[in-house]
Amino acid sequence: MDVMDRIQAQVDSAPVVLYMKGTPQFPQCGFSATAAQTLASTGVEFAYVNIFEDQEVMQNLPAFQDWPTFPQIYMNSELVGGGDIIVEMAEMGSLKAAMEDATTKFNDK
Amino acid sequence: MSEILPEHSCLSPMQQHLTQQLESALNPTHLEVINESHQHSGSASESHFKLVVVSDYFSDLKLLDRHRFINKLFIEELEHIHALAMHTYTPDEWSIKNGAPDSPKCAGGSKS
Repeated sequence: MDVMDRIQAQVDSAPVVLYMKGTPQFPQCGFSATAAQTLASTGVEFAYVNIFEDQEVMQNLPAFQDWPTFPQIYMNSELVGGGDIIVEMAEMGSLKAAMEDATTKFNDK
Repeated sequence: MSEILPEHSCLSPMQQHLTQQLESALNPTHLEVINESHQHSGSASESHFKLVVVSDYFSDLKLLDRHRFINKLFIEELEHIHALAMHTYTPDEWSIKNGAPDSPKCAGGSKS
């Protein structure tokens, strides 16, 4: 499978997908750690991809949705943004609802 | 023109560059370009920056598009900068909030 198809399949595979450096348990970058903690703080389940475990994904993800940095967060297969946006949404109180909404839509598919 | 950072000469070269680019692209009413490189591992002195940008230009843009605009503005710079944290507000949002969250500590890792 082409790498872009593989990334598409990953973002399609769960309602909320976090691309990060390391894992939520062992993050390897502070920005990835913050993104994972912020998503986890909602109590809503999310999937993650450790980009260090897949060099091809790491190299091609910036071109996938034209977003140059990691982490990246997808909901309903759409790019929501990077770590700063997730933190901002959490502060505004909209993150949990957005994740729940994505989960509902995913389960209805 | 905006009323911020009168002493450009006190800024590091990259800070000065980012400031000038943001000023001319977004005419911000408030702008902070903070060099956070000292908080991070490695020897690079201009590796981590945090931007706080308040501009009318953001009024019609959602967060994703505000960040995307700045990412596009600094497409070449991002080749050299390890991290560029962004906090973008309209003047109305800024007056309600008046402050930007701290960036997390980077534990090293490779360049994004």
